[in-house]
Amino acid sequence: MPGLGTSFGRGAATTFQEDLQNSDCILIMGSNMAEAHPVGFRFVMKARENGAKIMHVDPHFSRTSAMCNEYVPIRTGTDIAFLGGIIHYILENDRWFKEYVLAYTNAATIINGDYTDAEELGGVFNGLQREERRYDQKVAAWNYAGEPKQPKNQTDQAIKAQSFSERLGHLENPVPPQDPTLQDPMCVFQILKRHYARYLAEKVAEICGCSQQQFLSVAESLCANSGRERTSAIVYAVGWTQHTTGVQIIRAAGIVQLLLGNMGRPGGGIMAMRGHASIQGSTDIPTLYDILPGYIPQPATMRDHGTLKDYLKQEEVSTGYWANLPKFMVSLLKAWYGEAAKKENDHGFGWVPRIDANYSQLPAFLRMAQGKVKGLFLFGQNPAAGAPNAKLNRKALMQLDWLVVRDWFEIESASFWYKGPEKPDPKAIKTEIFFLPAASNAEKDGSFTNTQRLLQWHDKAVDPPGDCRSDAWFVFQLGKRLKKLYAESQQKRDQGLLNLTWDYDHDRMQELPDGSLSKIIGEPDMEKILKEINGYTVKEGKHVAGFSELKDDGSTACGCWIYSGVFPEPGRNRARSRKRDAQNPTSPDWGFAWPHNRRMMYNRASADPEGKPWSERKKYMWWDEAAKRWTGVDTPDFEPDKPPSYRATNESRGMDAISGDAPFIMKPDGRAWLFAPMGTKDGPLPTHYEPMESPVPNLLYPEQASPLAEVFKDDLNQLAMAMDPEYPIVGTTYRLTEHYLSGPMSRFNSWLNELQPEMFVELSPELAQQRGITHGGWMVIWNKRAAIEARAMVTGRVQSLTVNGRTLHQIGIPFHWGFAGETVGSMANDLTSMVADPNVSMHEAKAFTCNVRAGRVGDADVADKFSAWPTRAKSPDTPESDQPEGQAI
Amino acid sequence: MAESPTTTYYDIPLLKRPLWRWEIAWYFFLEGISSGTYLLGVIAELLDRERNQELVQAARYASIAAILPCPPLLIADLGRPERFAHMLRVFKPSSPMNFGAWALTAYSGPVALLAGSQMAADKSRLLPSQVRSVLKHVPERLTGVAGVPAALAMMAYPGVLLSTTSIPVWSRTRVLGALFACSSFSAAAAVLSFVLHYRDADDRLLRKLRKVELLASGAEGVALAGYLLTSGGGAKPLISGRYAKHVFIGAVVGGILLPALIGGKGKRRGLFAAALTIAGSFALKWAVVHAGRDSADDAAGSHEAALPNESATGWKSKYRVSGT
Amino acid sequence: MSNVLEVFARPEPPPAKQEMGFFTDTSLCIGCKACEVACKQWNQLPADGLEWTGHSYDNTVMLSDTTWRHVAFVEQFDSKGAGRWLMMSDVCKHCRQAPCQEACPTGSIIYNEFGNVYVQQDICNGCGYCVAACPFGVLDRNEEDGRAHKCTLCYDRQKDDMEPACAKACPTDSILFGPISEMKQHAEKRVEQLHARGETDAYIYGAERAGEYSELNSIFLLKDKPQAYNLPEAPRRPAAHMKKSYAFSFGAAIFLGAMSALLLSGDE
Ligand SMILES: Nc1nc2c(c(=O)[nH]1)N[C@H]1C(S)=C(S)[C@@H](COP(=O)(O)OP(=O)(O)OC[C@H]3O[C@@H](n4cnc5c(=O)[nH]c(N)nc54)[C@H](O)[C@@H]3O)O[C@H]1N2
Ligand SMILES: Nc1nc2c(c(=O)[nH]1)N[C@H]1C(S)=C(S)[C@@H](COP(=O)(O)OP(=O)(O)OC[C@H]3O[C@@H](n4cnc5c(=O)[nH]c(N)nc54)[C@H](O)[C@@H]3O)O[C@H]1N2
Ligand code: SF4
Ligand code: SF4
Ligand code: SF4
Ligand code: SF4
Ligand code: SF4
Ligand SMILES: [Mo]
Repeated sequence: MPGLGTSFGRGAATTFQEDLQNSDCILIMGSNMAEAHPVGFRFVMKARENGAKIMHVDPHFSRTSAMCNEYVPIRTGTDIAFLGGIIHYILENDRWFKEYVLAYTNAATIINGDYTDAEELGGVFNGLQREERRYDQKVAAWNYAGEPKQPKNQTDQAIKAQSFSERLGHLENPVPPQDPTLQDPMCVFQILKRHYARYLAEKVAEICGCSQQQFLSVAESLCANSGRERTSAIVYAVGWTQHTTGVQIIRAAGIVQLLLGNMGRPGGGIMAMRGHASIQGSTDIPTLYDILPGYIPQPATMRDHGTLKDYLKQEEVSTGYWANLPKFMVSLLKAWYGEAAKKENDHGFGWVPRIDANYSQLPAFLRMAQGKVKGLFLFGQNPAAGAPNAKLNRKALMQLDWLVVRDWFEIESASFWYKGPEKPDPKAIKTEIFFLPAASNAEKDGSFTNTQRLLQWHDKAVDPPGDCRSDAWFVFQLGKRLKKLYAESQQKRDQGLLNLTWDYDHDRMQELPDGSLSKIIGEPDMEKILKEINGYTVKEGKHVAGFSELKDDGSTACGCWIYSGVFPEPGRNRARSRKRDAQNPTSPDWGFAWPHNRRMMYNRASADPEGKPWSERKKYMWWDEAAKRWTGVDTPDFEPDKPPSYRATNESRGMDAISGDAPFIMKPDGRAWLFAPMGTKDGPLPTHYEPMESPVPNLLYPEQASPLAEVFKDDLNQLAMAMDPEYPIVGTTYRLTEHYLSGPMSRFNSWLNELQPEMFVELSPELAQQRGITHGGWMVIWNKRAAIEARAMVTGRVQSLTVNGRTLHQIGIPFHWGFAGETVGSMANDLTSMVADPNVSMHEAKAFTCNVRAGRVGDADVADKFSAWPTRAKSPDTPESDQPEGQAI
Repeated sequence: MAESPTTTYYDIPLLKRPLWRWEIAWYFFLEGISSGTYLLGVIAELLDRERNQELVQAARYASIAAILPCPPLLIADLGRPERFAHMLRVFKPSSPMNFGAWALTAYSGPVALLAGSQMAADKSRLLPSQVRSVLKHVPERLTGVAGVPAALAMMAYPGVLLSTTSIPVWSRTRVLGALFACSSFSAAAAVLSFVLHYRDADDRLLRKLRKVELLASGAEGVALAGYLLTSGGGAKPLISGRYAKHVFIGAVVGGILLPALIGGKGKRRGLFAAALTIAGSFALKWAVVHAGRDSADDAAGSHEAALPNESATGWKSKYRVSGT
Repeated sequence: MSNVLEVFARPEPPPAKQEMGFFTDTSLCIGCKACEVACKQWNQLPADGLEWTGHSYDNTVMLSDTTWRHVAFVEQFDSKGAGRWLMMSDVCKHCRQAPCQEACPTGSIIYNEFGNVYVQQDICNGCGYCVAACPFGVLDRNEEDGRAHKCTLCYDRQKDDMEPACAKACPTDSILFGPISEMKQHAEKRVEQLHARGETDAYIYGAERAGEYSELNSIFLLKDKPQAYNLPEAPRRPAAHMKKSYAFSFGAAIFLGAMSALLLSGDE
């Protein structure tokens, strides 16, 4: 999540859900928390009961809205306008937290004189290479004054993904030139003021479709509940990320929270609500193509990554915590290649695969659709229904030679060759599919890393049934077989595989909780893997206590430095610990939070520059002068004995470059970035752009949509032009508590199916009346990519908006249905498109245009090029339910 | 629109449909005839065994014939028929059904003994001679009197059973028990009248019986009026629902008015009038039992029937919802 | 055979314990239905079918023999989109003087040692009386097994000192479980708190005796008229009127008997 990483240093929720109860005001925006995170929502309810003001800004009135003190409707994809309006409100009315902003952000920092703001260039920054969809930093000059225009670790190659180091940024001078009076026209504060000067309340209302009063009430509530004595929190999830401007929306929230002084403080922060179980874990120890464990950049051919030295030179950030990169990287290589990793061979750096292009999901599937990919392993993913433009995804799967699906059920992605809206002819599809049943979480050891970076271990309760095996078993066994297969190979490219340490076998038969022995043969010992992740000394094999013990000389091995400390000694797996601490609200012995069990990140900011709590009410961490240490309820996210008075100089390097009053230790200047001199490709400041498909012109700038947004060209991925009169309706997709994602984990379960048995679409009474759609009847939704049908949920919870002086209709589409399972229904994702945010390649499933009518697909000429589907009949061969249930009476 | 109507929740029933169906309608009908004929038989016997001989005999046979199908009907109605005996696990006066089960048990002895004794007297071949010889010794008057409380209970409890529920069409009134008792009595009188007409019984007896018929029918009519009046809105399914015809055409016109007009004038008309009364009673019980379902289905009606009054005050009072 | 007789045996009931019950605070309910699913899972109840009702997000419609917790959804919006969405998790009221218990002819329904209304499944013969007796439409007879079912208030869990599955699963503590006296105190305080906050529509349903109807051991905080949630505003206790009914009924029978005697005895 570079939105957070660029602003604060780490791409993860800055706080933990329990802390929300300490908020005085919570803005939930881009998240349907009560429905998607009901358990965490408990703490929002606690805050509400404590008297906090809870506000929800969302396109549809959901169960979350119902719980809030205030609900504000908004047109999807216009959050930057709304947040920009709040920034303007804060600055215009002098509501910012002066001491905090001056000390902890880059507000006073002077920017290169050549910088030209979007305000002057019609919505783009200078240096735009429109054809290449990128900014040329040598021209753009977003950097701090006194720095080279293009930072050393920035590339302008075709690679779309940035490295984590790039997002952190790199400075030659950790103490950049500043104007503490904030008067310099090129200081960040002044630039900010100019950039948001036109984000006025009336403009916000016009763009977003809410009323001015509604907007002002949100802005004022945040201001009134921030400062020394009070704090406000912001909660978001994929209602923000799934936009071509997603990263910048989050950046805008960061700016709001920094100006109000809410970061690193109890009841404050930005709570990013992550997705399915351990999605945070799968970015920490990534299933992503461009980072290695612990956000270490993946070596790439288009960077100067020839040798380890080159790599480190380019990726290391010499000031701040990332100066430790060599320790983390070498320890990682030692963990992977063991004995074979020697100083002489760069610790095996040459064996790590290089990337040469964007291999993230959307472009990868596009290539697949073009027949350029031969085989695919699908572990717990269902792109045939769950991925944006599912239709194109299904086409892509049909081009494969082979496909391995490891899943609990025969999902859409395993059955697309004989059922689904295309009514495929199995004979015409060459893809050979291997369906391997997967064990469920109760049937295997392992850990989840949840939305607040908390690792929680789970022990296997029972053996999986039949042929089901854990994913770890599969990968472990696959690795063993591949190593055997290539054992004789002298090929250079195979040496990495052959030298991989792969010794995770159980020392003795695994015992199950009931005392019996596991019958599964070949299951890896997950705690051996955890030990490797935690790190150990190479010679003695002793667990390290934390990442501060890691070395760059090859004497330590560590599979993921940020998790280091989770398993500090044999028998003490801190992720397994479940101790509630009545005295300490952070319950430090409940699981283990990375980094180093810090529950709230940047918590140095909970004290003032001198190290004293901002207020008694909001006390959290402070400098204990007597003990010469940082102390408080949490682990300090700071060097524990660095006094507040310490001052870095421009010569300082590493952590020495972080002053005692600079809480954002990952950033090269120790400060949070209001203005991002680097790290976001599409601009240093969030700027309002319309979604790629929108019936509304950009009312702030001539530039309609993000000039950098990625568009994937394919016949099946056509986009409607902006303001195309054929598609006047805005569509957005979301979740229901009762179902999970594309549905495999809920639609095979009758207990959940009975709660929401059918695909429906929510629309306003006004739109329904206009189109003759009746509540409970059928309706068709179509756009350039597909036509789908659903039952109409006509409800006052969805309202038409007045945008740009005209009535605009939005419809809400749950995306949980598909053609496998006990209940089936149209897929929202046949409507969504493959377009993406330039920073993270995240799709825009939350905003597209469409049209609606009463009836069913195929019963009118309008959408007849699409096939009529689905039938109401259950798909044949679908198991009634594979869950144990309902036999009692 | 997904909006809820103001008074109910999407018009979803507040109450569950009672499960009782034709078995119970038939049961109430038959056991009513049985207990009614039993009572009339015993009364006739006590008054003048000799002169009322035909009536007594008919009553004894009618009461046993009508009660015989009852246990199977009751058992068939259960969700777990094999557990019918659980009814007698406890003695629980708060439950009219339990009360009824005990009443039926208590009633079964006398009714069977009297019928047996009659069969013995009539030298019925249905009984083995040894049994007949034993049954000859039944103390008839004593047995008959002993069975009266049970027979009265059998007559009285069915309507009370229905009344002691939450179903508006049954429970808003206090006179459903009386209505059923009257209906049972009139049907019983009609059954005896039918038999005696058929067997060309003594005219005097028929005339007396006719008076009893008229009395019971009249009482049934009064009770029905009382029931409908005291049920208020609760009686809706009977007044305007699909069972209105059962009540007004079946029970009132067919069961009460017509027999009163045509009866007492010869055998055929007597037979016809008696049959009409019997059918009317059946129509009434059938309608009332079945209307329970419609009543439970009527969401608004159920809520209306549960509005506060002096004895049931409800829980909204303490904190008045503003504007309601 | 011993089994058959066993049900007639009436062993000493376990000693009474503190009365336990629910306080379901609808002002905290987020409509997540975790309670519904937890109840089905713990009690291994089957799903009731896959019918989309369009009644907001309520597709289980009502309490039944196989649904012992049911979450109601009430949308109240005006044409401008202003309004509220009420959610309420309904359950058996565990009436202190329960019509179902009073009606049950077999003694299957009892008050257990926790003061909860409990259907003994080995005794129930499916007569259906309780179904018609309950003024809240809670109980129903299962078509397959022929017995009446409803919330057990997790008697099995309580015996093991565990809280009911639904309360355990409720993420926001909308369902509170505990000694009913504490529940009532808590409810009282909660209403005061909400009133102080300006939410004067909040009130408690079922905490005290309401005329002929007993207090409930499962009480609710509501924010609209009971009818809005499909609750009766003033439930009647059927047995309260039984004596009167009997009086009329026996009266009629005796009157007719006596009159018949008169008519039959007359010499014309
Ligand atoms: N029950 C359940 N829980 C889940 C999941 C599930 O499928 N089911 N999925 C899990 C996963 S993987 C994830 S990622 C999370 C996601 O959790 P959420 O992000 O909360 O889930 P959504 O419902 O997709 O979207 C959130 C809200 O964003 C709103 N929204 C859409 N567009 C915009 C916009 O432009 N601006 C604003 N302000 N709001 C917008 C939608 O109306 C919706 O209310 O949930 C997790 N939890
Ligand atoms: N329109 C629209 N589309 C969206 C979104 C949206 O908001 N709107 N949200 C997006 C988001 S945030 C996400 S995260 C994606 C999610 O999309 P997917 O990752 O495709 O999620 P699922 O559809 O749940 O598929 C997960 C599969 O994993 C299987 N599974 C579960 N546990 C295991 C296991 O232990 N091992 C194995 N091998 N398999 C397992 C499940 O049975 C299921 O089939 O959807 C995205 N798609
Ligand atoms: S499903 Fe799991 S992760 Fe999601 S809210 Fe429930 S408990 Fe939390
Ligand atoms: S609510 Fe109904 S089922 Fe529950 S105890 Fe009361 S009467 Fe019995
Ligand atoms: S159905 Fe069962 S529980 Fe209900 S009243 Fe009859 S015997 Fe009792
Ligand atoms: S107490 Fe137990 S049985 Fe009753 S609703 Fe809750 S989970 Fe279901
Ligand atoms: S679990 Fe709690 S919050 Fe969720 S629906 Fe049930 S009562 Fe409401
Ligand atoms: Mo997600």
